[in-house]
Amino acid sequence: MAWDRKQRRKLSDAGNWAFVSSNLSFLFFIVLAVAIMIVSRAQVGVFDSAREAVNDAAAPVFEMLAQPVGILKRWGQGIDSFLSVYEENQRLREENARLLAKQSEVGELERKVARYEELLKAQTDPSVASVAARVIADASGPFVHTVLINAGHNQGIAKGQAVVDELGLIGRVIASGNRSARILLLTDLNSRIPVMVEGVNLKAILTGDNSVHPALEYLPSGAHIPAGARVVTTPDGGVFPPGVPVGVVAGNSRTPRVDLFTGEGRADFVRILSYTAQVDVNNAAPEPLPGAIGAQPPKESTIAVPAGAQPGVASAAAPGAPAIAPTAPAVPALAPVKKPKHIKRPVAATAPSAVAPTVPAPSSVPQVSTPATPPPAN
Amino acid sequence: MSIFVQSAIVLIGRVLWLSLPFFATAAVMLLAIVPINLFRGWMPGPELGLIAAFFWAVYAPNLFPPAAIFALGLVQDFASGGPVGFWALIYLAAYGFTLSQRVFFIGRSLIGVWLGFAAVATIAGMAIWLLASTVYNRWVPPAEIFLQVAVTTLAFPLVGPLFLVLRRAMTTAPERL
Repeated sequence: MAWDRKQRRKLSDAGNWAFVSSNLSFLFFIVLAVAIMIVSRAQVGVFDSAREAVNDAAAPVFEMLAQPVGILKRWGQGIDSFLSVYEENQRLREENARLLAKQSEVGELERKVARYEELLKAQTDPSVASVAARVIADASGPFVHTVLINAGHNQGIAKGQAVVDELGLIGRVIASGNRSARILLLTDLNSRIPVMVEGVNLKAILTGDNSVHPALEYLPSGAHIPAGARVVTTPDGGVFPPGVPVGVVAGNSRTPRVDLFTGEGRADFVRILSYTAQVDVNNAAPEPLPGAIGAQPPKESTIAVPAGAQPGVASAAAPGAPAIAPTAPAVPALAPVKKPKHIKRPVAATAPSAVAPTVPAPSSVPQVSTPATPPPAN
Repeated sequence: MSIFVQSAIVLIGRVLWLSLPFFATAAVMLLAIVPINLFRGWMPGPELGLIAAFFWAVYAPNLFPPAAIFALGLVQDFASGGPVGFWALIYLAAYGFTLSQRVFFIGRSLIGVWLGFAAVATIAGMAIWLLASTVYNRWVPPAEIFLQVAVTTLAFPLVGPLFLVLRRAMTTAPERL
């Protein structure tokens, strides 16, 4: 079992010079690795094109490997469901009955919402096109949570687009090659997503921190977030379409955290949503200063814009909005300043005065502005 | 056929033969990132590059020079989507450390080498945690890193013999795992 020391030494290196040269090359590569890391941190994106090229080249191989794995998984699931076919059938019957009951309710609500939107002259959400793709590599490590999909520029995938599976948002595109793209999952340390908590209508940033429950940050201090409230995306920043389900607020934690709908059992297939904001938020003209020459619309007109016209908020808060309307006070002067700017413009252009008299302007403004007003959150 | 062409073919053949461990290890690493969802995402997969760095440093460093370890690290960097150079540096550090302690590992039984790997993997886990925290400029939660270290340590007796088969095919130097 144990080798004598002399023999070990004899085997351990091929000679003095070989040992020295091996150490030299070892040092060289250590220095090279450190240099590459410093460069990649100092100049973000310097290796992006190389990374995309490598991903593109590797994509067909991964695709080829992912197919038999997918078949095996389907077989496994098939056997699984065969064994529990009776329970599954019962469950589906119950679910079907429940969904049928919901269907008529939803139809009624849809008609109601459409009618309200018509009355409010609200802008309807632009339709969101989507591309389906297969997850071909899941190289998530202990602190990097990303997956690779088999669609890229050629299929219209671009950096920043939202990625969903059948349950909800799973992440966003961070790099796209010609036929592959990398998705940063919501749990990754670098993931930041603008979201809104439904019900209390508070906006926050969903921050990944490597745990399975990302945290909600940048909430107003003292805000009460009820456990179980749904969290959806907002179009703030012009990146994500509004109302994509993300998860529910998890209970029993000091900092509000989100129980994701997608969970950690990751999807085989995903959809990439291509959403374009109605106004380019990055190139939006700055707000004119009060009293500046040529400042066109008076401040009041922008303030009077009903927030119900916001695509994101409208879809989320439409049913609740009219009920609060009569009791709602006049618009606080500060509130709309914090509203997403990109939505004001098209609405302001469609004669706000026409909207203001018929519907009390502040109907849903306080709801939206709650995140802007610091302490009281109703 | 001229002598130059012949010698070029022989040289290319030799280079390919000698880089077989690298390609085999890279292939195993790429196979491991196919989305199988074996543990439904609850558990990180083993860090196969770390096992490779340790194994080849102990059993056949001449078949796996630092350049190959560096390239293996870059493969992992590009595959994982993390900062470029990160895994290259970690693998090189683990390789260098193992090489410097090679005399303690060589010729041990499976249990002995396994324990040695557990020690190297734990040190590497600490290095990963510190380096990741430095790169991301905040304290990265260490739990998942050390969970992966544990998974990697458990996977060593499964992956090690695969590499050993390759090593036996390539060299007759007597070693045992």
